[in-house]
Amino acid sequence: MRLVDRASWQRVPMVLRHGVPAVAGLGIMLLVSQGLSEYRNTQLATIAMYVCAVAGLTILTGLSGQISLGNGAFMFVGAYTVALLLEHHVTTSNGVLALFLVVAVLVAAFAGALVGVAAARLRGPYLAGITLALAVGLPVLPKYSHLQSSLGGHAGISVNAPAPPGDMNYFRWQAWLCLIAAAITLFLLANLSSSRVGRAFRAVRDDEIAASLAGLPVARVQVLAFVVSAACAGLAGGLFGILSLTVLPDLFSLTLSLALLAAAVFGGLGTLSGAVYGSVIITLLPFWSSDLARALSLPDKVQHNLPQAVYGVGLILGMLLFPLGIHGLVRRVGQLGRNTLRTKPANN
Amino acid sequence: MLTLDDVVTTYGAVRALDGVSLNVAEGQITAVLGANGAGKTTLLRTVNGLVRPSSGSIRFDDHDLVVAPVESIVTFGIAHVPEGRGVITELTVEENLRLGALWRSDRRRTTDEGLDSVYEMFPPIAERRGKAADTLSGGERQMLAIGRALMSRPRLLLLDEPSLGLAPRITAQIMATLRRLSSEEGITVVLVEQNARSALSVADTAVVLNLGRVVAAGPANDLAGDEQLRHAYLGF
Amino acid sequence: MTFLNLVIYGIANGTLYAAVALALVLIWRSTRIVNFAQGGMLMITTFIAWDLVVKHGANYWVGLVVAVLAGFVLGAVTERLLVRPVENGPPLNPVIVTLGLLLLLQAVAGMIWGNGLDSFAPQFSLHYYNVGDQVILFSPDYLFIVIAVLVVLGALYLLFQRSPLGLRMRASAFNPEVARLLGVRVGRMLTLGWGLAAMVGALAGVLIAGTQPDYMNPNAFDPLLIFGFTAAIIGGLDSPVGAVAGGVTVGVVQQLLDNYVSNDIDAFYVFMILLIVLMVRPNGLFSRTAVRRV
Repeated sequence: MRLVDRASWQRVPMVLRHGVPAVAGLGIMLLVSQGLSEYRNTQLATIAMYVCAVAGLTILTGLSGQISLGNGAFMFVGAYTVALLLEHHVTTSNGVLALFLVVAVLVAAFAGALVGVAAARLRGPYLAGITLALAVGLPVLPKYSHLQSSLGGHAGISVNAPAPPGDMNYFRWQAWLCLIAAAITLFLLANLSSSRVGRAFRAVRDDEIAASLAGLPVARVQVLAFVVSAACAGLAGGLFGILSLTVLPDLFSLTLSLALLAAAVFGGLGTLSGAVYGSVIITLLPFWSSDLARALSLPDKVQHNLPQAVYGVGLILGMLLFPLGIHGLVRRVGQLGRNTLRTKPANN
Repeated sequence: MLTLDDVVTTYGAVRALDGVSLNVAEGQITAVLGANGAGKTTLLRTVNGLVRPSSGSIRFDDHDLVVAPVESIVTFGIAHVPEGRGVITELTVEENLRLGALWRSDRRRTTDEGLDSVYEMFPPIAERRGKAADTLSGGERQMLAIGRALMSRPRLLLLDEPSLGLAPRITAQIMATLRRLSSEEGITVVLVEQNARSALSVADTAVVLNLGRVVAAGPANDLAGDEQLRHAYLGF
Repeated sequence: MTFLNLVIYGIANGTLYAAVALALVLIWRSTRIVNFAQGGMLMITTFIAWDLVVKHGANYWVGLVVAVLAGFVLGAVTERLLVRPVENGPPLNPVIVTLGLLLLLQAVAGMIWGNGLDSFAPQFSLHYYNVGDQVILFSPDYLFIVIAVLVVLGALYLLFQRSPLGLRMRASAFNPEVARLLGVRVGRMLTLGWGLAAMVGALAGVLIAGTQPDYMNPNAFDPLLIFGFTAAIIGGLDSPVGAVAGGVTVGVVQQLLDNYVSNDIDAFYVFMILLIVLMVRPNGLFSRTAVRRV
């Protein structure tokens, strides 16, 4: 019964196969956001914003096998692009804002291509190291004395986003904006992942030499994966700027980049559903830990550092105990459930 | 001295050793022959503990080699000359040799004696004692690997394909050295070889493996004279 | 004179980067892993020394020795508990584990000592030497730093090149299987290697903390890790001598750029240096062999 379902499902054109869940999911989330408080809508917006970045990273690391510790830097590029555009072209139109977000994606993709060209020649620790240096090195640029006037230095620049259309609630508008962006990102990445390009990513990850013997342009494929992940991070960065109201260098710390990696690992590298789980965790973790710290009346400095400690422990335990992440866990539980369902009639 | 009884070693679904029994007598050279993939290298790796058998027993004197840690094998008096030379190319010739005696508590004394006798036995590597081992030729690397094994003063020497890739003249030299070690120093030798002709020329007894099983065993002369066996398994 | 002063100051600072690079190289050589947690390890051990010396009034040297010993323990325990299980897996796994440890150590330091700014005064004066009426950008503290790093280098050289233990450690790093057949307890050598490396890192941590006021903060040591990593890459990751050369190079280039361009964006320089080096030589400037493909 299931097999038939799956086979006929696979005959459905890919655009529909991924488009239907994306639209349905988006619709449900938009409805959900109607019933949420302003506070919850902000959290929802943050989750959706992270989904964009983490989904790009999980494609890069999980599918094409390249690691990036520097996607926070591409978020920095996207955020400053949107902030600068809004500063120089004040707008009240949400359409123009969407256009600016597209520009942020393009600029970040271009930055990703520059780094990707260098990165494609690098392996393992070299790649990890250069992207780590990127994460730390790029966001300090606004502090450069000659750029301070245009990029705002330590204090950063405020993001003058247009008002919500009509009489829409400001926080719900933020949530909608981020949810739409996340749905588009997931839809495009799902198509990419099951397309020829996605297969090329996997082939390069599994065996570079075999892939190049099979005629795949390995370096180009790797640069492309880097560009895709940078573009996603750029979109997330633009949204991050809008949510934060101000962009400043310290927002884009090494911890941000590592939190993205943590989210991808928590969720399960290479899986888009995992990117969603991971984003939920890194968004809510600070809230949970401050609730916990308040409940246990822990000192401020403990409370303040608890989320990061959990990231750290999560990354370590994730690698040692659950290399497939939450996605793998969910799937295993699902399989267990199906197996028991399937074996029951046989026993009778 | 070394006794294997019904040893089975598997790699996943493949039975690389499929019930091998073997008795290596003290003071003799035992050749283990067979084609590629017959299980020769697996046999040595099972003896020294790099691979653990799924069943069967391996004993060396009173030691149970099935459970003994790899690091302790050399202390029992077993020295291993690995396949593909196995010298550590980043170290110098002399450092490679010193490593051989490093486990001994009396190494201060034995190292100097050992170095002298190895250099005497293999003059080509004596000239290059301070050079990195990756500057050596194939034959010199084999000499170095044997010399390093001798530094531990073994009673049993295990060699994995020492003739691989060497010129016939060098192979003959190596085989002559083994013969001398056996007759003059009383060292027991297990010689794993694909080159059956050279191995049989120095061995006392021989065992032929095929697909993980012993298909023939006996005095080296008898095996060398068995034309059918030679054609079927030994290729000469 | 300015130029010469910058070079002197750059070399002095560079010896600290060299020490961190050395810590990374020692671990890379033995386990083919870059220890991204090194920055966190040396931060924790420096805080331990600071806690003893500044908060509890212990002697500076006691603090230094305790930090270095704590470094050894931390390095060895890390190898045993966290690195051993992922050592032979995909190369991505140890990267993620050591990054996780970095985050954890920073969080723990913040929980214990807070995220403020504290000073850890050095044992020797930070006042620059004068030659005639010329100021030389070199102080007794930096003299001590250079000597300490040179002594460590010399000790490591003797250990690795001249002692049986060092021979065992090198054999384990280069060919673990052959080393085991020769009776070397390879696992123990790897643990020891991580411990030694973390000791070198711990020394660098205490030394750099004294060079600037308000240095003590859990995140303040991140740049040291990045600078050290860059130095190690320039040196080819495999060579201790290369690591030192790389450290001094990074130190000098940093001072020159700070002076002639701008001193606000050190981290960006490092990224550019690394990018350029890796574009020219993907395996580092001083590397002899290509990265081994297994």
